Amino acid sequence: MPSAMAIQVEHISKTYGTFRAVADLTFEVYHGEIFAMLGPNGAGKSTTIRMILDILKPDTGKIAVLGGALTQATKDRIGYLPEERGLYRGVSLIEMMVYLGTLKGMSAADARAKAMGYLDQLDLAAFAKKKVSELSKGMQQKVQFAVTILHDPELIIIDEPFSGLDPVNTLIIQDLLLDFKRRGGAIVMSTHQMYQIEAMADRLMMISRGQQKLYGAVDAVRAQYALPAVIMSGTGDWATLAGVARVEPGENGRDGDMVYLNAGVQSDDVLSEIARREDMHIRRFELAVPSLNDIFIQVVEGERDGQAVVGR
Amino acid sequence: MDKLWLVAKYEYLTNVRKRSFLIASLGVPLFVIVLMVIIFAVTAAQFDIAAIGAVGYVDASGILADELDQPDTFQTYADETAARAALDADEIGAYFVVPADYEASGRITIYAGASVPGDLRRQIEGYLIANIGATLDPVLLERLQNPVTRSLRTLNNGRTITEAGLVGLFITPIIFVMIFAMGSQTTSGYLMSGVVEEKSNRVMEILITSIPPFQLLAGKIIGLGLLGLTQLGIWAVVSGVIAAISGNITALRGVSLPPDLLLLGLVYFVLSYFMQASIMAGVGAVAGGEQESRQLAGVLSLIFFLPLFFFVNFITEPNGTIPTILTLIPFTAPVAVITRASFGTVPPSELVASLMILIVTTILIVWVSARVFRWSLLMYGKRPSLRQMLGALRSNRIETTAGGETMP
Repeated sequence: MPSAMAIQVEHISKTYGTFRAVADLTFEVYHGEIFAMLGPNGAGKSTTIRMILDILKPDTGKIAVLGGALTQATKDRIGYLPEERGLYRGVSLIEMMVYLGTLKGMSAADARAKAMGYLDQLDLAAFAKKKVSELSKGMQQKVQFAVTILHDPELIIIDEPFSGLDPVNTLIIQDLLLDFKRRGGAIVMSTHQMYQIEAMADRLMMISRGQQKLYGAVDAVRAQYALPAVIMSGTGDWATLAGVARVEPGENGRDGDMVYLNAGVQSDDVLSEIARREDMHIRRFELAVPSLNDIFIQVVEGERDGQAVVGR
Repeated sequence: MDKLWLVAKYEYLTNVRKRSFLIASLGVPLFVIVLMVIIFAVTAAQFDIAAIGAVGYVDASGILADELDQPDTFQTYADETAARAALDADEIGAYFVVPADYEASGRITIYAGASVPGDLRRQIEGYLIANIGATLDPVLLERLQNPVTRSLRTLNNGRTITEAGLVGLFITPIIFVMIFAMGSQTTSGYLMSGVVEEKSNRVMEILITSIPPFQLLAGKIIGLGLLGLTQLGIWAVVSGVIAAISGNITALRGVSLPPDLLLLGLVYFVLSYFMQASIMAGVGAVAGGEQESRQLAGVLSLIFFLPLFFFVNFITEPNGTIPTILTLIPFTAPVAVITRASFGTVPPSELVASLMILIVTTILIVWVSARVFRWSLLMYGKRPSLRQMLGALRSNRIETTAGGETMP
């Protein structure tokens, strides 16, 4: 029976000497979703990825990948794009892709055909026989991504897939990722680019100092951090509305007024009152949901403050 | 295990096409042979008695009256004027005058158009000795004529050396050692720089999520080992071809490789390659970068070539203490054994001991290297301390993969 879960991690911990890199992490990744892993540098993302990939062994806890403990056969069904990656410089693209493909259990002919297909799709067909050293950085990034998905894996784990890519190439990679997801593939993506997560990811996990800080569907996580406030612009004195606690006028840089609501007041009720009022016109009405970026900073800063308290 | 062969094939094919490999494969034998020809030509110029042609002489002392053992090229002239005329007419290439007081002074004068080859001098001496010693006991005379060659021959226990091979005797081991040592050094050098590259470009992380580290290492060692054999093969063929083309280079006549020496060299090449390659793989995995790994490799090759610093001991005393010790130390054994074997014979007991020690050490090093290799792959950016490395060797638990591929 095929498991709906691509990765199942239960209570894993990893300590280097006295440094606790990962502490009691539990999470799941499903087929057909993009799962984002975020956190500040040194939070334990790479360690977690390495444990999933069986490069490192967790001190405690259990990891199941594609339905069981990771075996050599399972590894063939996984694609991995490491951070700070490079490629063989002195070898032709096609040759290197075929080599890495066959190491994942493909036949040489199959690997060659698939590689040519992807190079075509990535506008790199003309470079198939060129050496990697002759490619620009963006081209190399695309090739690296093609290598990751060459063998039709069921799960791909990618570290900062968009770093160093221009907007056009970012779109190309995004399309490939979404396409991979549509075909039922599971994607674990570690990135610092919050807007990419907002735009693409289904669920996320944020870790900091090896601990899980946020975990769940992206929308749910953001809603969790939503303020009891609405961003509004238009004409009228918002303070006269029922249920409004206070109004923070739009300041430099921010378009719209921040309207804080009393506890228990629903934004829908406020909107319907505005509709009834003759003296008010609304152009924009938006829940004050913070961006992931804000949440990220809030979580990390909050932790730092917490540290300070402990320090005192 | 299929993937092991994929790695071997890839390593072989990508490296065999490298420009540096081609240069080394074709250039080295060419260079060595050109060098040898030059060395021999320079020395041979003084030997080349044939260029002189006929040699005249004028004997005023009467010592040479009987013309005993006269070389074919020698002819006598009545006086210096006649000899001079013959020299000017190019009938002879040189002439010498034995003055009347020769018996007392021992002085003769040689006249020649160009420089006088050493061999001509020896020929004249031999001619004079034969005639002066005509009254001596023939055995004594023979000793007088050839006082040293016999004792030189005792240097070689197993092989017969012709007079012409004498220079070859010294040249052969040096060249031979160089060829085998360079073969195993260049290939294990490829291995090391390959590992360093894969580590720095992170392809290593992709590789070890595709293939167990031990298979990866074994594939690399096998693939590049075959590359090393290919290189030796190319060297043999190219040298053979060049030698055949220039078969009439008298200089190279004395140089030959006895088959037993060749076999011994091959055995030691293979063993020392495995040892060096494993060390290099470990060094490549541990070293901080290309430059650092090269420095470490340099130290290793210095140890490897240590016996050449004791070359004199190997000539004068091939079975002495220093050559024996160097034969038993596994790192210096390949060079030491080949050097000794080309000068003389290595006692079978020492040979067996040397081989056993080398084999055991090689196995040990392959094992250690495989562990260091696998473990250090995880230490990106961090330098493993010696203590950590020793810890990695002792502990089974440390950072092993959950897949738990078996170690040999």
